[in-house]
Amino acid sequence: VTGIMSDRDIVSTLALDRLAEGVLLIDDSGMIAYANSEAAHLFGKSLEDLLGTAFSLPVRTEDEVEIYIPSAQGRVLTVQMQVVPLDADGKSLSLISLHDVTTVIEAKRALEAERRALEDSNRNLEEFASAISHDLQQPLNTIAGLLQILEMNAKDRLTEDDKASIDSAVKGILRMNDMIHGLLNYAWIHAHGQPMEPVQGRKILDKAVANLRGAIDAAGAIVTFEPLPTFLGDESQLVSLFQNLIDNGLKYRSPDRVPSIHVTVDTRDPGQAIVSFKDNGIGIPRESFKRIFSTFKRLQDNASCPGVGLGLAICKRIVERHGGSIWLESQLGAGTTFHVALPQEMQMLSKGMSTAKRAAGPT
Amino acid sequence: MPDSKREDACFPRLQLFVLGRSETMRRAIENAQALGDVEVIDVRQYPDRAEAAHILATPTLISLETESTVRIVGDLNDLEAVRYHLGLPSEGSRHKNKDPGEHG
Repeated sequence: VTGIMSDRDIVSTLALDRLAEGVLLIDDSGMIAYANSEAAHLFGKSLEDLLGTAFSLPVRTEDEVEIYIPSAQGRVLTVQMQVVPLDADGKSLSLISLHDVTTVIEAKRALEAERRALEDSNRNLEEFASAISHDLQQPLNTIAGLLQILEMNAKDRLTEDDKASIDSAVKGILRMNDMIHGLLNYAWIHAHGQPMEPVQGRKILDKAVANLRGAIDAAGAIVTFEPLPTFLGDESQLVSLFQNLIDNGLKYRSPDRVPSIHVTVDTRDPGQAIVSFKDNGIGIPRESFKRIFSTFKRLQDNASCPGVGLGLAICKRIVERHGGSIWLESQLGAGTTFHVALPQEMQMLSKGMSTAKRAAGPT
Repeated sequence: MPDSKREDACFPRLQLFVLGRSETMRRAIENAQALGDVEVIDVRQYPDRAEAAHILATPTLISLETESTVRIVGDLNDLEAVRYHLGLPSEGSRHKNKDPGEHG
């Protein structure tokens, strides 16, 4: 560093000064014999100040050791230090590399704080949901019970209008019960989610259809499907996803034709499968596409359509938890197709595709 | 036990400059305490002392009682090397009552 520098020295000094890593050379008494620009920058000192200053006696490090450099501004730099002995021209020097990891560590900390806040809010949501279930459901059940007793005891004295009022009140209670259950299901998607595991698509669909058997038969609907791949997901949530999407086709069916829901699969994209639920129902106007996935939005406020409008919000939340996406196409009066992109189990990919070829067409 | 007394007298007074109580700091303190009496100084609490001692980074171990000031930056995990620099007998040969100045 002192005296006449050879070309090689100049080149290496220039190179070292351009390094993003701090470099010190210390002699065997711990004095700094060389420092590059980044090292001076890390210590917040000029090169002149650093040279000849005692830093540390060389203690060779096995792994990188974390050290902290307090700065004048009160900020603390976290630096990974490595000490390697060198033998240069008989003089024993040690090379100290200083790698600033402050931003990485700060980012990690921020991420950790965010994760904790998220966990907290999930826990709050869960507590909120269970508060709803206990505090709201119980009085509701009491009211329903009292109404029944009233209807029985006062049977002879009630006019037709009175009976209709009680009927409406009971219907209101049932509807509110549905809403509470919907909210609970919505709130529990994250809080009570099971780990992601390979689940056979056919199993999911069979369960969803079995759960909807009554509604499918009542509507006289036809549900057809292509061979499904194996998904990577939470089985009970995927069942509820499929169930909600099929149920949507049943609820918003057209009175003019036999309702049909056809489930198709696109596995061309490795890693994810796109499952489509195509119905021949009344369709959804384009301006409502976004709105239907939000909580408590129902397009048709018609008493003939049961449900509380949480179905698609629950679907969206389930799909998001699986790292997938949901979107739709629709033509008013002709029908709607919901598309869901879900992660599929990679090892099963080739198997699933060959199955699809073998057994093409609806089952 | 006059022998051990003399050995104790050989331990230099140690200062360890730290910053907070991170994993590295706890390890450094533990290691330093294995060497003898050590005064732990947090540079945030005593910035003047840190400046007077020309502390560039933490943790830094300083021994003022050796011929020239010994300073070592790091977690002091290699206690043998630290003992060597401080002129202390190595753990294995302590009872041989090695001359502490031998390496210094």
